[in-house]
Amino acid sequence: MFGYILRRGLGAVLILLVVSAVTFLLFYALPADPARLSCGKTCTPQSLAQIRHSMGLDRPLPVQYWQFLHGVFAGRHFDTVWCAAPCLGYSFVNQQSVSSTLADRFPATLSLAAGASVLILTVGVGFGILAALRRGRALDKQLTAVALVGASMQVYFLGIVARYLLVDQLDLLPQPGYTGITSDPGKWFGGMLLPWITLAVVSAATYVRFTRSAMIEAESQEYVRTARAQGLPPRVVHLRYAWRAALTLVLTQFGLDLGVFLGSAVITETTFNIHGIAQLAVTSVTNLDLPMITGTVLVAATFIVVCNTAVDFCYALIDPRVRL
Amino acid sequence: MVTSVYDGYDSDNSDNGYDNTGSHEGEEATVRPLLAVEDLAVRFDTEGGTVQAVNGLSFSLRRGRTLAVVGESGSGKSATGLAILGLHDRRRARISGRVEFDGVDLAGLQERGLAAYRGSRIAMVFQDALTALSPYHTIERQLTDAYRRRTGASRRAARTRAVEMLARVGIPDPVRRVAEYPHEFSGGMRQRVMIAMALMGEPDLVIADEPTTALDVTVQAQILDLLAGLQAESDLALLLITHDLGVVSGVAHDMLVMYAGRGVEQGPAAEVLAAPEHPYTRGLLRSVPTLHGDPDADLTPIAGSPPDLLDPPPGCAFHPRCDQRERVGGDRCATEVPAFVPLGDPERMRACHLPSGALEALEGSVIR
Repeated sequence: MFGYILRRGLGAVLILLVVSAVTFLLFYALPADPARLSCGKTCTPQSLAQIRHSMGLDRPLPVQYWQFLHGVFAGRHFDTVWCAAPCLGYSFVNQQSVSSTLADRFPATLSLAAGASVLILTVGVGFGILAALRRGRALDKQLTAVALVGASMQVYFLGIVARYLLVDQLDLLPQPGYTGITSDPGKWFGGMLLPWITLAVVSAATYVRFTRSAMIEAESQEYVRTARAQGLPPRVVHLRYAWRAALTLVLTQFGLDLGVFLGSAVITETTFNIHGIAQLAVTSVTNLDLPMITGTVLVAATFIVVCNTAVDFCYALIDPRVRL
Repeated sequence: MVTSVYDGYDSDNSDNGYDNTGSHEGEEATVRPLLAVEDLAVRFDTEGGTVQAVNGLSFSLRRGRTLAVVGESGSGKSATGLAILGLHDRRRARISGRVEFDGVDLAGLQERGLAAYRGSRIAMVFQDALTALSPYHTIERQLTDAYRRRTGASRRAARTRAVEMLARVGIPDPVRRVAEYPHEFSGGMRQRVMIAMALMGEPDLVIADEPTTALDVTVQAQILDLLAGLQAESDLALLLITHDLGVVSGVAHDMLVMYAGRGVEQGPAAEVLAAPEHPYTRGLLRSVPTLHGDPDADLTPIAGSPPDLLDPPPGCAFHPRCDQRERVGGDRCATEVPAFVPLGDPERMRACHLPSGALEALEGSVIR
């Protein structure tokens, strides 16, 4: 177990190194100059050179990357300011510390992802099992049809319509938006409710269909037949024996989807005006804000690596044949 | 047990009404076979048409007897075993006929009614214990789940019973092993677990579907010895589904040979193996090597392949592969389905147009 955690940890560090290096390379492949952007309209060559120097852009790329790494692992100097490790630098645009901006923005994205995941899994998997148990009957057909409609929706469409109807017109839900969970848990929950529900409707639909087919596939396992041959009631046969095989498939799908959720967070955050990491990433790219871009990319990559590790742990919990 | 008159004391039933006519009115409860299957048919509706997996099969089985159901894959023997306990997917399979177990027609019961028989009075042992046991649950869980639900036993009591059953089927250190998972057992031990599972409910009838096929030969013999021992010990009725004639000669009292969903020959195992009356049975015997036979003798496989059950041949389903059809006059084999009828002795039955005793004896290749 300890060896496994160590291996995964080292693997994660390696992944993050590669990701950050690629981000640097891609940034310099852009035909744009962040110094020029900061310099403004009345830009003299002297001030441009000065800005370029203060941004550290006048040094060769490997040196810049090395300085970045040094900052992350051991801290670094910015002119007179000491930035302690892990130092991700300061924004080109507003000179804010990247780390503190990320710390500020990440909880919103995490709230969105965690709450939506819980809802998607409970609703999607629950209805999927129900549909599988009632296969071929009216409930199954209704659930499958509703799921198809849900899966055809898009967050930016459904979210805006739902917001107009449920919040603005009927006043059933509070205005969406992010409040820190520690400052006001009630307001946090209320503000996240509409985004969660919207995400759940769109994505849970996939899980209804997926869980249904995973359950039906699991039903054909021979040990499910053995359970029936032992005289166990259908409920136990399905929920204890067939479900365990389906769970592995659902978990695999969820592990893959976590990355997709994060990718689509840009749209969700924009739709509901939630200032999360994804919105920050888009703004940073538009502003050619390299330190902030690198920061958001690293946070996203870390999130994915951590989630995948968690999924692997869950595999081992579900299936005794899996050794970590 | 092939008929209900095997031991001869059932004199009022010597017309063998059980197996052929389906009539059993006026039968004494004491001489009733434990299991009487009558005119069983199992059909699967597929995209290509209807598959007749079992087609009008009748047999019976008494307590304390072992009946081997023998045939190639696709002969309908496994479909028969599953149909007895209603384990076919009801959405796909259509079952007709009677499966009378201890006076109750199981074929007429719904899931709920069948659950009272499954595992408690009738238990199944499946072929491949690796896939037939859940990889996600401990042996204890799988052995005790249904038992506890049925008896209301405490967890501790159920575990004690599971440990007893594991010990009974010869698993060393059962107290420790009961907490393990199927993948931690060897193939033979896993099949023993499967048998222990079947014994949990003290069944009257055990249906063993190819219980030794997935095992290597020495382990096969051990598992067969175990099954035969348990059968004698508990006065079980054992329905042994197999394609292996060696298995039949070792443990079965009676045998029923199936081809394309029908019975083609049945009788006491020793008699059928020594003097097969159906060309298919004889062909099966000629295609297996024996320890006692001439090692240089050629094995003769049956020509051709099993019939397409979507479109079975007309007449006798075996006729396209039969080496004896020339001896039957005219085109009878290809047009007329031979009746499954007794050959003098009511427990010796056969479905063939050849006259009885027409097949010459096999030279030295009889399985012992």
